[in-house]
Amino acid sequence: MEESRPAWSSAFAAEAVQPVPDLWPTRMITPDWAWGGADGHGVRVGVIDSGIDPTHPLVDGRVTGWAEFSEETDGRISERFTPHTDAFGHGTACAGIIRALAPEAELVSIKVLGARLSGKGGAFIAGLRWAIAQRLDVVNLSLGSGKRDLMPLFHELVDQAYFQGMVLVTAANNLPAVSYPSLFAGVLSVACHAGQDPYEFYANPAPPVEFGAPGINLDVAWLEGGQLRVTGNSFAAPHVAGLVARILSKHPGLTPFQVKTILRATARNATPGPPLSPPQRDQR
Amino acid sequence: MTELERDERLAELEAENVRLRARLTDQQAVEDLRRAVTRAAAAGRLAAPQRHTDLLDQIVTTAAHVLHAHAASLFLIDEEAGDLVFAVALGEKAAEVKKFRVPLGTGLAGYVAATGQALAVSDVAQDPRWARAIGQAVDYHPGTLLAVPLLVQERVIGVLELLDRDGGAPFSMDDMQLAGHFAAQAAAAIEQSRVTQSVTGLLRAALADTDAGDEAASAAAEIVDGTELQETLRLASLLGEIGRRGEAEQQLGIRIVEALDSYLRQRAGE
Repeated sequence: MEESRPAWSSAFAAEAVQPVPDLWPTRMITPDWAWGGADGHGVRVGVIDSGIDPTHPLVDGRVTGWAEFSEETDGRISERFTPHTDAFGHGTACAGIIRALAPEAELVSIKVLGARLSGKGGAFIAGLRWAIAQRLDVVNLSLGSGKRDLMPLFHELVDQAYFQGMVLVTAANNLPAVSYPSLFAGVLSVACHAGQDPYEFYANPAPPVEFGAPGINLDVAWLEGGQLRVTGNSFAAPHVAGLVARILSKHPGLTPFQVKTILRATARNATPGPPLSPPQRDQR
Repeated sequence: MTELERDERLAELEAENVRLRARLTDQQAVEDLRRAVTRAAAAGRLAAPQRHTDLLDQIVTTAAHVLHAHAASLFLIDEEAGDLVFAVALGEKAAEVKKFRVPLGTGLAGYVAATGQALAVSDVAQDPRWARAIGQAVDYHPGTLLAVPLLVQERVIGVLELLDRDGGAPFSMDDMQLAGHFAAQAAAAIEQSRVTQSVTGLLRAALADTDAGDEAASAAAEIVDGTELQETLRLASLLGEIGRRGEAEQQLGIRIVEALDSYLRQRAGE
């Protein structure tokens, strides 16, 4: 029988959000300190998805890198590095959300969906590996794979990204099913809440999903310059990716570990703990 | 439907899914075999398909009812042709819609098929691909949509789509989870039917007095390879040998399987 998992977004329903106690010194980390006045300038954000339509008004033309991976019938991975189109509209939606939060960030479109039914995950792996080799700063993965065979490979790549300082932001599965790499500790795993404020996000005291961001009834960029009103965790992840781009443009060189610390401290449900007291002296 | 009724229905669905999955592998295979032999011998044709279609219809109808959807479709992936085929369509324009095939690699259902990720959309008619592919052709312009994948283990085999929720409200994340259970039920039913059909096909060929039987047997062996139906295949092969000797022997074969089934049931304390 398949493993049963909770619906991740339920942790962020208005009545379900729990306060997350934080360390007292982290109260010095405020949203204003973290990203106030920043615009994503100098940060490269990869979008591993169905491609990006750079002509969409919400994307605004600025896609600075292109890569496309697809799996051939013989299992070989073919790659192209010329501008492409968006097969579904989904990648453009993610790019538009990131652009809204970090207007000056450079977007890199890494297309792994569309050409064929990419059920084997090989294109996905190739796209992630390429993003790591390019040493991008942030990568949005609003997709995952349930294939257990790929788990060790994803694990290895996520560790590699983490150690080289690349922030991987992944969407939790919308259904209670296993999805890699969103279940790993080295990524920022995101589900959705019903709020519309792009800066409203919550920390989850019960991982593997660590953050909740807007993803319900959102108007997002879609095909042919249009928009679509959508619901799904895959639209919550790019909110966090955009915010991380802003944080990194203000504080270059932060590690994924430090980025997580900042996000947890600035989450709407973070409650700073009591001041740390010095150790009690032995009274004997 | 109240929240309580909804929760009860959800629990029933989960139990049903467990039962369906278990049926894929347990001793029930013997029962399937017995039924398959009886039908194939009596009617000289494949058994299961009619029942399978009815079951899918029923699942989609129930899903549409529980989730207050005015229309619903179940697509299956045709990997060779590279498109999604309507297996079930419900709603005002069902008959017209059913004629369409949706190419993989485009559209909302295509996205769900490619990624295995569920998706809810509040204004489908705004999706230009959908509008051009189907909307204009049948003059149906749905508002809300919920699309969830049909997963068999790690593989997407189809997509369950619900359209136009009552009152125009968008489908919620809770609806998505509930629809996921119906999709799991449909996926289990389809997989079970595929296995049953392959066994039925095998038996039909094995019982026919031709060399084609062996060919069919090895083809079917490939289909069920890796499942616990290997033992069933051995039985089928033996049965085929018996069947080739004449009609009386064929009847004998059926009785042997029935006796074996009965014996196994007694042993299992049923």
